Amino acid sequence: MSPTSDRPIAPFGRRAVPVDSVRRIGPYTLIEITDLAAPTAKAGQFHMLATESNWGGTSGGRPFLARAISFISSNGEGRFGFLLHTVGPGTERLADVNVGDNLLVVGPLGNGFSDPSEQLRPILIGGGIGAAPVLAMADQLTAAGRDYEVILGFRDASHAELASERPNCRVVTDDGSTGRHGTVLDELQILIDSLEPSQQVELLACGPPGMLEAVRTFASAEGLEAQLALETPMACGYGACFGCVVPTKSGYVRACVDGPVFMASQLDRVFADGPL
Amino acid sequence: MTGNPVRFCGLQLEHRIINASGTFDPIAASRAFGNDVITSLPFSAFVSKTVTVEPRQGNPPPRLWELPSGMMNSIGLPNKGLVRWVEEDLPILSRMKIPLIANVMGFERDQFSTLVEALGGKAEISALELNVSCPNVETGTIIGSDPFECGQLVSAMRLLTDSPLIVKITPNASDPAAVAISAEAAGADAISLINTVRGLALDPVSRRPWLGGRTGGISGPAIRAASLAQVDAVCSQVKIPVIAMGGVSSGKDAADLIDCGATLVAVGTENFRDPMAAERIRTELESISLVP
Ligand SMILES: Cc1cc2nc3c(=O)[nH]c(=O)nc-3n(C[C@H](O)[C@H](O)[C@H](O)COP(=O)(O)OP(=O)(O)OC[C@H]3O[C@@H](n4cnc5c(N)ncnc54)[C@H](O)[C@@H]3O)c2cc1C
Ligand SMILES: Cc1cc2nc3c(=O)[nH]c(=O)nc-3n(C[C@H](O)[C@H](O)[C@H](O)COP(=O)(O)O)c2cc1C
Ligand code: FES
Repeated sequence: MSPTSDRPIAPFGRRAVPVDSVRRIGPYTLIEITDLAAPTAKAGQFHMLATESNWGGTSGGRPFLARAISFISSNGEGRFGFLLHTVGPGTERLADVNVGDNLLVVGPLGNGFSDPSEQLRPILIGGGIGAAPVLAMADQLTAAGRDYEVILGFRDASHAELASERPNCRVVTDDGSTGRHGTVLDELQILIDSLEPSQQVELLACGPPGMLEAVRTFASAEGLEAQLALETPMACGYGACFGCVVPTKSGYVRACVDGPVFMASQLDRVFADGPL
Repeated sequence: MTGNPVRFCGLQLEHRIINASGTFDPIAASRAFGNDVITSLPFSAFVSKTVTVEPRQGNPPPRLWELPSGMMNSIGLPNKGLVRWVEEDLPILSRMKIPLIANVMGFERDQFSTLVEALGGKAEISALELNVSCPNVETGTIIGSDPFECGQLVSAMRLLTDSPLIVKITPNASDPAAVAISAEAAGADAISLINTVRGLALDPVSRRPWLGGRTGGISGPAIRAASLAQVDAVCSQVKIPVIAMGGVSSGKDAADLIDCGATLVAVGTENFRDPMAAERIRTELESISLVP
């Protein structure tokens, strides 16, 4: 791989940045920082985040490593929003910060989404916490003057509260408690059927492995371009540990430097976390 | 601050902090942090990730498991193999302003010979580190766990190169100091320790091993006290210099290892938490050294 950088260059090292705001959105927590050292980042990139105090020392003794978190918003001037879904000690501690607490930040890291070509209509698909980078991409496309569609899928109405701040999203829920009852794939089919037959589309998706695998299968069956943002456990986030590899058609590839966004055509399958 | 220069195997190093093999990739880091990284590493020498004769994909995922104060990995030594490493990576690594130490591993003596012959004479490479934490395919024993096997390997490699030979011994041995003594007697120029400590994690759901390689290697502060005991034992038994590592995350941790006799201290897992950790550790160490 060429050492020439193909992406925004992050400052070399970890820095302490205070939390500006903390807000609950349904079961999610949105925290914001102003990181003046950061370059303008690309949607789909991520940061490695830890808290400066009380990182570790829970009853289970974790967290120890920083956690990979993609941003849901960025203003190009250092302000980043991170949306947290608490699943374990790391995300719990991050969601528990107060305004003024310091985060330890490395990033932005990874490749981020590529700009969809002008001829293709971007369809952004987010499942659960995967909505975060997808909404960041929506903002990026808006700023670039592009038209696009957004489909967001959630478990239920409380998770879908996130979409209430985004009026132009098509929302589906697993339990039908708000939006259409069904999956993002059902909604994708409905959307594509409603487009002019000549309208070509590109899919950009982030979500749980099962959803991404369904998007991959759909894209491959329909011959569509699809960019998939994968979430795989990471220790370092900058290519040092080789711990984050995902199986691709060209072998194991580090998701933190060669991803986390992959073209669906690079993958034979999207695997769930845990032993294969 | 220029730091406190130190001599190691004929090299003049600017300070005592280097990286542990497999815990920093300057080429990948330059994609994230820019090309200047190659010439501004916080280490006084750079140790490559283990290079093997043949390319290796490494172990299937998952490769990581987090522990209280540490982690466990089953990375499985993925690398491009000798030929592509020399063609593709060495020219980039040779732009570093610090000496390069190549870490190599073979699954049998001939493979070690191939690696040592190919890399020992290269001007860009200042020393070789033999990773002997691997099973010998002929005998099945871990070379680095057996003083006799390790001594034989080092004797054979000694004949092939004048380049300094560092032997990285495994903590998964009943008596690492005996292995170090044997390596010294066979002509090793330095000892490095500790490599990761073998461990196991079960998938919370399926109750089967979580890691793709079944077992993994524990690193980070969780192994610091084990490292200190082994470094202390080895330093008291050998005269050649020792590179100490295992859970170093502060200048105080480095000072502990130096006080037990280590010449250099390598930072591993802490690099993952902070790419510039070595800089902080070095600064902290220098302020500690000033205390009488
Ligand atoms: C590029 C990228 C972007 C991401 N963006 C976001 C985001 O915007 N928002 C967000 O909330 N999350 C995001 N994530 C996911 C987030 O990084 C993880 O949810 C987080 O690391 C989990 O840490 P935890 O301590 O909360 O949970 P953990 O306890 O680590 O649990 C997570 C899973 O890891 C496994 N596990 C359990 N114990 C261990 C252990 N000891 N060691 C290793 N694995 C274990 C289990 O399968 C468990 O379900 C992103 C991930 C990536 C890679
Ligand atoms: C992810 C990872 C990869 C490693 N890869 C190698 C390797 O390729 N060769 C090697 O000799 N040691 C390897 N090691 C071991 C380290 O060099 C070091 O001996 C060990 O991690 C202890 O130091 P630490 O606690 O500071 O990490 C690796 C360790 C980790 C955590
Ligand atoms: S997370 Fe360490 S190499 Fe990707």
